[in-house]
Amino acid sequence: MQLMHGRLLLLALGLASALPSPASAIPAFARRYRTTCASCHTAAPKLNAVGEAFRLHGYRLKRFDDAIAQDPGLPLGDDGWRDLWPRGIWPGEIPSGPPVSLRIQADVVSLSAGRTPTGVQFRLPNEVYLLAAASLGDGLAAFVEIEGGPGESFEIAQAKLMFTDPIRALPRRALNLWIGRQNPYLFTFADRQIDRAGVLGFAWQSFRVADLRLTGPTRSDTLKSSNAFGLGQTLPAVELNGILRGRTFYSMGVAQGAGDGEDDNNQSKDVYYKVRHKWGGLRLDGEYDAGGGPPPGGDGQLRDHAIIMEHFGYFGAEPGSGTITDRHRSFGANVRVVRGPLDVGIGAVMRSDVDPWGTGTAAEMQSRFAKAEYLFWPWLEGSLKLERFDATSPVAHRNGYTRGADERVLVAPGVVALLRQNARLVIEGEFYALERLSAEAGRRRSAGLWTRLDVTF
Amino acid sequence: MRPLIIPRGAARAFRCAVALGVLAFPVIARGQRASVEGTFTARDPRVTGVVVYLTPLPAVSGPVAPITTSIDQRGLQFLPRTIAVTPGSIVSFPNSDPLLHNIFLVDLQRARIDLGTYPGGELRQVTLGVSGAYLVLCHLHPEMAASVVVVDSPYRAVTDGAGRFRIDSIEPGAYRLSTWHRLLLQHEETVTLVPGGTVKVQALLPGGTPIPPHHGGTTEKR
Repeated sequence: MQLMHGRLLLLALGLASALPSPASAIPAFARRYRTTCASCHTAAPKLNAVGEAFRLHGYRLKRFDDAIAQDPGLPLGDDGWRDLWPRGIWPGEIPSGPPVSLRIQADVVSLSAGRTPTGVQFRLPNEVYLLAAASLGDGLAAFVEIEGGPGESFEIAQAKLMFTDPIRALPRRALNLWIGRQNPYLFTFADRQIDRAGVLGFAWQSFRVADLRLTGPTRSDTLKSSNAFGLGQTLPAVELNGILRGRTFYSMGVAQGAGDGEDDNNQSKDVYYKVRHKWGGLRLDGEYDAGGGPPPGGDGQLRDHAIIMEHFGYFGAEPGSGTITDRHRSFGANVRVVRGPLDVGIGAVMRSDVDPWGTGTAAEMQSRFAKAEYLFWPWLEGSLKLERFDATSPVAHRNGYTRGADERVLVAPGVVALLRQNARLVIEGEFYALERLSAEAGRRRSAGLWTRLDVTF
Repeated sequence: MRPLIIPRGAARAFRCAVALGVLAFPVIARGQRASVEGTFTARDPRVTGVVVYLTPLPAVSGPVAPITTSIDQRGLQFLPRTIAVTPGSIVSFPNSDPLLHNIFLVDLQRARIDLGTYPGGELRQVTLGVSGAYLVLCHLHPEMAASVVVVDSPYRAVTDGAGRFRIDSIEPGAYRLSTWHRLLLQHEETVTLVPGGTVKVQALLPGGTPIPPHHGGTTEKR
């Protein structure tokens, strides 16, 4: 274990709590364009380069739309009304049929905590998603994701309106406005289901400082923060974003960090920014450079050759303890290389909370993680996730508290088999080389095996 | 020798007869040819585009003229979706979509002819030298599919959406009529064509895996 601690470059492992996270495989678009899932997805919901460009453009690549859309939608006013604006209503459209899809996730899960197995759990289904997405004419799109499971009420995971090019004087897609409950999508290679194969995410996404316990001098008083903010949450937000010169994506947003969608519970809004640049391959605007194109082959899977770098910053303030506001900030960076069937990347995320317990004691989180995915066949993808995760309160002892710490070193190998283009079978294991949680005494070595059947239609 | 004097009326009548004969020759000649028409359908009405072709009995070996034809890529579809050509034919694949396609042909032995990736406005072509059946697919758009069937026969057709076909101008004689579709068992029957006649055929083709067009013989079910 010491050895593992020392090998910082051996990106470590991932926590991998398989919390449901936003999903975006949208058969409504397959119907609209009479095309298959593979046009936008590698192993749905994981997006390929075309799917990502399509998403960034508000679910409409107009040049393609004019040529291949089989369901042009019901126009809400002739295009000629544009010329009459503001003396008329700007024209739009609605889909000619309900743009609604269902996604069913059925899991068989085997977990053990230390040497204590919890048995095999049938979560059949684990989650059901209702997905709706539509282009509402040039310049406006909507995406809604509602999720629920047995014994749960259905919740709105995402519901956002996407205004593209609201200021027509700017270059195309240079400025867009997304409003609604949404995932900030801080990283595009690890943050979302639409970016990765498998079931499991990384610990930094689901980490909440509320999970970190601080033990007082008497060892009987355990402090728990009320700050339940996590970087992987969906949030009510207003985001400005755009694509510059086809290869640089930027965004900046104002979010209600508590993420509960209710009235704000403090006087501060969170802000965040993201920057992404892509070298090579399909540009973020859905075009290739002159003379460029995808590498040959693929057998029905779009291939790409690209290097992508990303960086984000997130600054927030949430209720910590009582009336105390816990200010927190996070930064992350990653590098991702896509080379034909290989998709590999490394990244790091750091977060610091100023006073989550109201004791003047700060908390810090660090995660170093990596992911490698390889398409052995167009229908079979292997994946490996690694994460080393540390969440600590390094100066707790100065205030008489025991150092609270969560440490995890996770290895998560998995395989994804496409039974159909819209049906995948995932088998993924999570093995903790190290697991020490502040909420529990001592170390343990947990393990788990997830088997998921995931169908969208 | 006295010159042969033909009465003016007789000469006029002769010229008229010659003119009528010239004009009527194609009609008479066509009448000496034969036709085959009919319907080949499958239980699944979505299965269309059955290739129908005739080979003479007894078999006559001889070159059949190659042709030049094309399959367009338009609106994420191949148009037409099935063609029948002769050995040595050149098939071009223009890309009429505003996006890239990367199409390839794969035969029944899974051998590939990859035409590479190319944008709208360009075309690639291939010469198909031997009889066989090729499935045309796009690496980038898996929903696109077409069939190119190479048969050693000048008498061939592809059924329409209703399963109908017609082949005209066939030299009278005995022929083996064969069908080919990648999802249907082959149908074969002998037809005897008489000058000016039309033979009608009709069959419901069961699903299955056919053997390559040039092998003949039995078929096996999938």
